Amino acid sequence: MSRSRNLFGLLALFSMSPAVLAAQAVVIAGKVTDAGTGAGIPNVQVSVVGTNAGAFSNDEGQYVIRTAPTGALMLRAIRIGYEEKKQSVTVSGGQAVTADFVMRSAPVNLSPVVTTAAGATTRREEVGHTDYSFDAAKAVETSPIANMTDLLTARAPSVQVLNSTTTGGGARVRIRGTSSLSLNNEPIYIIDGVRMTSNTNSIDGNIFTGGTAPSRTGDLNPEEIETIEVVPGPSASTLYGTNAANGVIVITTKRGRAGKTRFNTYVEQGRIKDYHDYPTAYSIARNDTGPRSTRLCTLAGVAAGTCAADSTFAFNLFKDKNTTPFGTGDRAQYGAQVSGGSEAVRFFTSGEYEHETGIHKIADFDLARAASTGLALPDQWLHPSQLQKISLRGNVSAALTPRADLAVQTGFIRSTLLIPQSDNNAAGLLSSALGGPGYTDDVANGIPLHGYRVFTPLEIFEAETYQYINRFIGSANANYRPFTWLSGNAVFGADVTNRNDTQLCRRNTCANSGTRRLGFKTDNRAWFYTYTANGSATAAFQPYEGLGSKTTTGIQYINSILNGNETFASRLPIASTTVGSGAIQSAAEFTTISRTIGAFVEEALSWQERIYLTGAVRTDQNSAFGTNYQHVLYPKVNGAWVISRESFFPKLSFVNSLRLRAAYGASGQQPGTNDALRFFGASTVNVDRNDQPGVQYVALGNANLRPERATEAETGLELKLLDDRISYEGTFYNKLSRDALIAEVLPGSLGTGSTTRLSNLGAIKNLGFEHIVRAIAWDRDYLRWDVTGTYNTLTNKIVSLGPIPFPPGGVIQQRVGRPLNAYYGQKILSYKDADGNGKLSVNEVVVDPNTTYIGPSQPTYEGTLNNSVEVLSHMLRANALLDMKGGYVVRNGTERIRCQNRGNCSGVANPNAPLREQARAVALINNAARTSAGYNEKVHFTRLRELSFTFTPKAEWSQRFLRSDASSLTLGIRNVHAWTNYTGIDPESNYGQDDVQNDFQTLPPPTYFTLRLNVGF
Amino acid sequence: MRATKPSLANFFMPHFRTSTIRRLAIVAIAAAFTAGCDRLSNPLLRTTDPDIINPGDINNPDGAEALRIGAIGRLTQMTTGSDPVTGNESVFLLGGLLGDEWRSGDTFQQRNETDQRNIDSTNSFMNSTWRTVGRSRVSALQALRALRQYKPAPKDYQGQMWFNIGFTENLAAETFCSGIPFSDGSVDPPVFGQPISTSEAFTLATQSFDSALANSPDTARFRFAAMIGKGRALLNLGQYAAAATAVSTVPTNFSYDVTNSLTSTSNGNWALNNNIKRYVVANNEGGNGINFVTALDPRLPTLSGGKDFEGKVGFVAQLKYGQTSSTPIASGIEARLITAEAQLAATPNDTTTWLRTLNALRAMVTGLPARADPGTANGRVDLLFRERAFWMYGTGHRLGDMRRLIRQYSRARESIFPTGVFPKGGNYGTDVTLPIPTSERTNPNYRTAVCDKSTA
Repeated sequence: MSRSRNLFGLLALFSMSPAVLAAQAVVIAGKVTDAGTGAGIPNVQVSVVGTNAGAFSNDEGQYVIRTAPTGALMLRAIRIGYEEKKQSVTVSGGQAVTADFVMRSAPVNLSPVVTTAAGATTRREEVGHTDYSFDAAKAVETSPIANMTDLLTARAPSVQVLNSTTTGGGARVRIRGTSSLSLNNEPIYIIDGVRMTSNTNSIDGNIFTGGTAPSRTGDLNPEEIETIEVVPGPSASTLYGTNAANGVIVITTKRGRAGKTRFNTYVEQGRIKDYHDYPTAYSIARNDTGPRSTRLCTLAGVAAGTCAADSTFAFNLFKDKNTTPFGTGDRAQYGAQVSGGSEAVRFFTSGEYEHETGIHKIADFDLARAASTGLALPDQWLHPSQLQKISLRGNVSAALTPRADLAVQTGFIRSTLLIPQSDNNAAGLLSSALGGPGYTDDVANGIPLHGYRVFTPLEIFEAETYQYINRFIGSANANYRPFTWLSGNAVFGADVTNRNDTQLCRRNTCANSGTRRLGFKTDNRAWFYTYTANGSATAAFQPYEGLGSKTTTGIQYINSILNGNETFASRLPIASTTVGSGAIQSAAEFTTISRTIGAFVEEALSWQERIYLTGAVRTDQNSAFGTNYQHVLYPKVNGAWVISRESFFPKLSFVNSLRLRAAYGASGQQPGTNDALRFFGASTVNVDRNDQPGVQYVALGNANLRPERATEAETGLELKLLDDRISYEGTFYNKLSRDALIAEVLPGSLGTGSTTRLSNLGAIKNLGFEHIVRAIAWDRDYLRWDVTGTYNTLTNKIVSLGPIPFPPGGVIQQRVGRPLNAYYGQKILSYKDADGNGKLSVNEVVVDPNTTYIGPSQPTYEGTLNNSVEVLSHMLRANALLDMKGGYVVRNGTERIRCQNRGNCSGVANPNAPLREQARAVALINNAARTSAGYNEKVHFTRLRELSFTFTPKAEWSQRFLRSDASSLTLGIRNVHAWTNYTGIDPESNYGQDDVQNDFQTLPPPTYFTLRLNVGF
Repeated sequence: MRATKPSLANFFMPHFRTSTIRRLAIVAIAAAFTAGCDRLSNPLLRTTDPDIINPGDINNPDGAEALRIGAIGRLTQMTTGSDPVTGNESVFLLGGLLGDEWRSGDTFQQRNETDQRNIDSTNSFMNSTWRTVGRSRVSALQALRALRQYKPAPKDYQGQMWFNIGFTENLAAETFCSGIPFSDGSVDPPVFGQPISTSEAFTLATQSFDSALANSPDTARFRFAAMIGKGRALLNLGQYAAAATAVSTVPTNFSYDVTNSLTSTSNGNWALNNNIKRYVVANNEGGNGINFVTALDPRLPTLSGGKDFEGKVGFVAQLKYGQTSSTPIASGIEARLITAEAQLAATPNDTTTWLRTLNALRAMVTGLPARADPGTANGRVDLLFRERAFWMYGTGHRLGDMRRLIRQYSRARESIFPTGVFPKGGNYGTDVTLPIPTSERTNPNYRTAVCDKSTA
């Protein structure tokens, strides 16, 4: 502590010295205008090259730099969507200088700056690593984006997003593959300079939904976001420190701009539909006298002559109006944003209400049954998938003095999510809906099933699972520029989230399984706190003519705390809904704490605006490291060379610029809070019919535990052609996670409560290529056509698993030389209907006697193609986004359980089933190998992810008809159609945010239709 | 421009201004900042997690007592514990599923393949069940050490822990394949066990029960339990007379139970059968199985009706155990059954002595008539084991008995275990033991061990 005080004291003393106060500083002011229209351009960053002095233009395009140095200066103006401009000025003490800029719009929109770990921005040209950014505000306005994950999907190469398919569910996000076998592979999120809680599968462990779980990233409102930057891996994320090995997503919320107060309002209405084909349920009954459910045949049995079929049944309850559990969902969004202010104080404030109802509904036959018994159905049963959210934001920026400014960002989110029972859940919807017998007259527990397996939608949806979120994310960012060459930055922030998860089955409701109908209530309340304190100082100077130097040093402290209580009661009295009313009650509490302190130094050099070299090192200490481990060092170095500016570079008319870059860096992943510790736990034990408190051994501990360390080298180039109408960006990366934290499986005989302990054992490699092409295919007044395509590959490989043998798993295995979480199994080698009866018997299917590698569980190639066409003088814009993934395996767990356990799949009970379906069913059920490898399918798909049409009327039309300064109307469709070889319901069916996709009785992604009106004043 | 002061830095870097040196000094100070801090003493990094109990906090008499209670909890988990979601079910249940006590009414392949006698060594349920064995034994060892050091009186608590150890060793040998490793992860560094044969494990168990007897001077309950445990282990070794001697003084009405409650653990038989219907009472399973349902034996009341968890086949519930029922893991009835078996072993053609012992037990139950001599040696053995099966249904004895019929009575494997067509598809396999799961391969002494599941 004393050392940190000394450091801050030194900085303060230094900045307050008389020499500082006497420094000569002048004002440079001017206006930035559009070369085409002559209008002022807002939000242009004008800076004095080689210093920290700069300012942003206001709504009219005017800017004022109040602390410029004297002498011959170079000014630079940059803004997304415009070509960079530079201008020389000479200023002397006390003199005010005017410098206007005229900027030409750039054919290709790309943010000219990237955000650094210190919170400042630097020109993209100067960094040697990859950084993908996009204009979130524009995407939200013109695309069908319902949540944060829609916003991240298909925006940048190597950013793989697997969305939830249920309203309010969280998404899995992976950047440049999966690096860790046992730790979280999600990136970290920074919002307005502070670490954000991005907890995945974020629902209390005692609340069972079957798989659907929110992610705390989903709390954010995309409408409030200005830009998103993706910092892909250690070569770029080094200075973000321990836990940044999986990449960083940097979010900047909207800011106010000086100028008149602007009101932006929007209204969005939407519909949600599911157009997928769900499989039909089949059954074959044999000639017998017992109940039909006990005399079922399989095709293989019929083929073998061991079962004489006398009747077949087929029923698809999803296609029957009386039985389908799906209807039309809807969503609505109403929001207003106000921004403006003066040069001294600028503000942005917004508020939004959002509501979404998913596609689940109670089947008509259930409604009729309820009506006949007089059962009143509350809304939460009728619409068991719902999300309501209110988000408020207030951001204020103030120029306290010419040398100091302060920005305060505050955001508040309140949401209520209702989650239906689904997925991997015996009392979930699709377990019964997909598992039916193929006929409709079965009855269970006295309830007619109408084709369902054991429970009907009403019984299932009577279970009420809510998640209530109250969340505040706030940050204060102070900048101080005592000299033109020195600036200091301090950021303090907190993300405080209150999560309340409840689950209720009222007495005599819910699926009749176990003691559920006696009633139970779970009420779990958790608090997440993430505190961030950053401080940094940057010194910029030019030691030699042409040589620029920028030295930054900073410290960071992150304190993450999770604590909460779990309460449960069962056997509720009739009409009661509280924990306190249950006959059997229990309670628990939990706490998780993680603290990191880090410091870094970075030196960035530039040579004549052609060559850039940056080197840095960060050191971290973390509360979860083992007692024998002190701190970790993460170095980085990167360089960029704008080779096209060299005199020797051939002057080719079609080449506008070529930049080469290379980067190397390291980052890490920290272990869990108690992973290093040997400890015991408490438990209640019944001894001789008395409950007594006991202590049991839990964890072995590992005093040598240290962070997982990932290093990454990347190299790439950026090429602009044909007056910047075409740009290409290519990157090759090679990332190696060493000291990989692997959950070392402990032998059961050791008697530990934990089944594993984390050890630094292995090494995992990810490498791949990333390509982005942006092009203006056509640009005339009557038509503009923009095309952006991305393509990336991913090769993932386990390099080492350490000296301790890793026990072979089942379907998913970890083997050296193969990808993490790879699929293995005994494959079907061949099948042939030798007797020509149309049915495969066990001896007509040949199964590999050995277990072999089938494929990776992560896509090995991905691509996107975005076409945007503007016509009618840019008034009508059409946008289509195609998203493609392939080269991986998805386990069709839905069909597997239908065949193996329900016996109702086509391959088992459809007399007209294709041989391929029969073969995998025979291999699963009848062959001695009992292999499910036939359900692990190599997948490729292309999805028309977004289709939107935006009409932006001329300003005078908006004025005349809406009394508005600007307006637009967007019709958007999301998840329009998918083309795939996958035989399951959808290749993106998934629940949870696990490393391996879960398609197991899981909904496919539904289609969203939205209509959005933006009106500005 | 100010005059540059002479300095070492200026000598080496004459073109750098003094301010540059100062800037670099700031950088250097910052860089040294965290690297020099001691992580463990840094208050900013210090954390206290109330969820855990540190080893140093239980080195006292109360800690020793809490460890003893915890060890009893581990024994309960191993014998009658259950968790239908995670699969942490007891050895009693999984052994009975492999044998003929239960059939699977489940969708989980792990349970279905156990019922089918075709268990994959990667079966995750084997992992969790095998771990209950390790936890039961190691927690008792841990408590034993703590009791000796911090709470030596009453000494009988040490005897109780020795019973836990012996019971666990014996049950493991009855249930899992030969080559059983017993390790100890509670010491630092951990001690990894060598695989020992089934008979070696039974011998080890008898030694543990002897220790239990030696350390239970004042508590008859612990002594009787240890006697029965020893008799059971000796029976497993084929030492019938010694087994009978071991249990001779145990009263018939004695019972040593693991107990349950609504707020600790539920009885596993109830939880997985009556409550969730993943287990169904078997009846003549695979042809060879005992007709537990149609026998209508009052010692095992059952109720048929509805569907099992999978929703396809008829469900049969046992009514012997409720949610909070206790389960006798050593009883006077077992002692008398050991006596009867020793009597039969001593004189295989005897038609009265052993039968009198069995019928004396049957007379304790209303509606259970006395049995007549079956007339053949094999018939007598069948009757004896059938009596054991009904008396001790759901108490973890049946699989061991089925294996003993093969091992000690020379019965063919396929005449004892379920065979033929498996109702959920395919045929029954050849397993007669649960496998030691592949997770045990991380034990350096077990990496090359062989687990033969088809040898009794």
